[in-house]
Amino acid sequence: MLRPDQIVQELTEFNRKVAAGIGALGQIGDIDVGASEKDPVYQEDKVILYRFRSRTADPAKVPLLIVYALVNRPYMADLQEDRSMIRGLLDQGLDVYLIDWGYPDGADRYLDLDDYLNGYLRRCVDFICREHKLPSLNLLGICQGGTFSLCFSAMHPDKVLNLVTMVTPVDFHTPDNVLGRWVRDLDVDLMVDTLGNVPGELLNWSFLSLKPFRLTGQKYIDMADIFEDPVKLKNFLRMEKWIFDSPDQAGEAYRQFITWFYQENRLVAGGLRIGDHAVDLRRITMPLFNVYATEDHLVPPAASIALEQHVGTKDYTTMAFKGGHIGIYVSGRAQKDIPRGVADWLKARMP
Amino acid sequence: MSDSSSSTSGPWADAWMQMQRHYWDAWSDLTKRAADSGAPKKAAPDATSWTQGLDYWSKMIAPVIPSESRAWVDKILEMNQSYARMGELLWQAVSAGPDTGQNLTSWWEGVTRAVQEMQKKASSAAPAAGNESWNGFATLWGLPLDHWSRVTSACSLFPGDMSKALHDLNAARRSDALPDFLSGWLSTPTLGYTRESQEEVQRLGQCLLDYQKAMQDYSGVLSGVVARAAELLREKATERVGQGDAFESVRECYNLWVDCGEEAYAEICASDAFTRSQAAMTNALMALKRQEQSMIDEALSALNMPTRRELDTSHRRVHQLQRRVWKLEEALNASGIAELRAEMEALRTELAAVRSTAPAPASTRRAAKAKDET
Repeated sequence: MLRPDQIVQELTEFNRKVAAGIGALGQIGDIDVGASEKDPVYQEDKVILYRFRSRTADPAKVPLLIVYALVNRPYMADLQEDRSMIRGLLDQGLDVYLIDWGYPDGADRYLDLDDYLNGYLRRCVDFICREHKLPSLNLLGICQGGTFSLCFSAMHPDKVLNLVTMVTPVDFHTPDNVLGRWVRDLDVDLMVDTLGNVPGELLNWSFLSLKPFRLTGQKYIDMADIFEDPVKLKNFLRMEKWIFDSPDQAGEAYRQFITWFYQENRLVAGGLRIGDHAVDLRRITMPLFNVYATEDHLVPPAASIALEQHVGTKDYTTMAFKGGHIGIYVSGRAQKDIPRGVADWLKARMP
Repeated sequence: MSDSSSSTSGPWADAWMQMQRHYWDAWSDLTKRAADSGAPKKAAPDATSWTQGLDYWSKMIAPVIPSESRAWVDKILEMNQSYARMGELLWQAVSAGPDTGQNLTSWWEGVTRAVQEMQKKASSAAPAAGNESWNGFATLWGLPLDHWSRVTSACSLFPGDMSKALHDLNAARRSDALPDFLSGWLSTPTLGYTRESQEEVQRLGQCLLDYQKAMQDYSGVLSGVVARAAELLREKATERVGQGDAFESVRECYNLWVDCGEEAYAEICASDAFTRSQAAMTNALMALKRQEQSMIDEALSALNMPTRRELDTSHRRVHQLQRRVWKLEEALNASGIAELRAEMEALRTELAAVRSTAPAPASTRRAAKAKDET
């Protein structure tokens, strides 16, 4: 039973930690992110294609291209040495490339999904294939990047040898998709016509509003417990940096993504066309590995699991990771399970 | 701010005062730096209040925090303030009775009163999203509307917090007659040479009213979260106490509150009413901003300055040109010209290499010999 003297002690201790923590935060210095060595190998406008330096003597002959979402920054996949999916993939002997979409500004507001998928992404794929003298590569899409990878694979199936999707929304109208419900009555045309590019802060507001008490309150109270541990504090701040490092969204691409995917659910309902290409998931006949998180509050499992019934491939594998949308990259278990799971699956399907 | 005068007369008053002394010791290092920096001295805080103490301290410390760090320090202090407020209420509740700490029933009655008090404070603060009491309770009660007002202040014409700036108007809308009066005024026919600009101002006013109304509706839907969360907290805590399992720490109580808050919020945030009101609020803000832009563009145009419309046109044209360049490059590559050029370049290099190693023609040799003889 909580006694007044306990409350006094607890709050005193809490205040002591916070006071010490403010001093510690002032001393902590820069928050570095990105653990693995990489080189820019291709650049176009604000898009940069990186190739990670191999960590094994004889990396796989078919490279793996990681396609991240436009929302947030791709360094989540390589946050720090002991929390890096990319490092894990490199250690498994894969040759890893990553697209960094950059930070769009006002001059990019007319970039649409055709520009991103049939433009930047296809040219990155072509570049890698040319460099490796290969007709196709392995593609790994994360979150919205997974949706993009599905569209790309459906539009250019000859360029994708194997496809991996992680925490990827496919059916945007499952009953538990709160984000999907929230945008259904949104006047996206008015928003994009008004704002041009959609501010990253606005998207952050949506994401944090999914669990407001926990994500904007409790976690900062919990932070008091790690103020005196510089390693844990830095880990926390890295994550914090990533969460709020949200690029603005190119207006036309945002308009199309919200309207076609979230509001009209065209990826599974049909009728999706990007540029000159029809997007038909049945054209995805290459091997497909779909990883979803069982506790994902941003992309509910049902939204990902739906993929199986819409694709044309006969080689479909699914992996359920017990964790959340972020835990799939940074949790201790993810470091062991995800890179090995992806690499084993890929190696069994590479020449 | 809580009134703790009645509760400090109990047997725990000494502990409270002692705690305050510890508390001030803990801050002393940073506070000393504030004093050394020449920051203005404040009046001593009321030692009977955590939150007043924190408030005092945060004002003292502000001048020594570098501006680039102020945002996160403010964030931490804000969290601390909310947490302290919960602890303060709990402390008042459990230290009020003579047998506090001895009897589970009276203990639970005290805690229940504290929860009710929290709910009352939140309910009275909720409708006025811009006022101080709401913001002070934001981390416990005000989310996500508080967060929304911060986000939107960045994309509004009005400096600072928009909802604060419009607070008076918001309050005015609560009277039944004024909105109709304002709407009537805003739809008055316009006359004369400036009729178009009058219409623009009217439209802006109407957009403002619509946005305020949408925010109020959203706030109304959200206020249900607080009531439901408090209800859940009482239920869950009662169940625990019934099983002889009382709270052992403020953090435990806080964590349970967060769980209840999330549960209550999850029930409401997927509802049609919430979804519609949130979308309506966003749409209303966009309509308001669109109208602001249109009026600013008119003013810029009159000053012969570049407008948003012109910039958009330029960006669109640049993008169209960029697409044409991409297509031409692709066509060029597809036609094989690039390969032919590369092949020609390779032949040129090869030819140059052959020339440099081959013997010079006879005429060149003769000319070289004549030069040597001279």
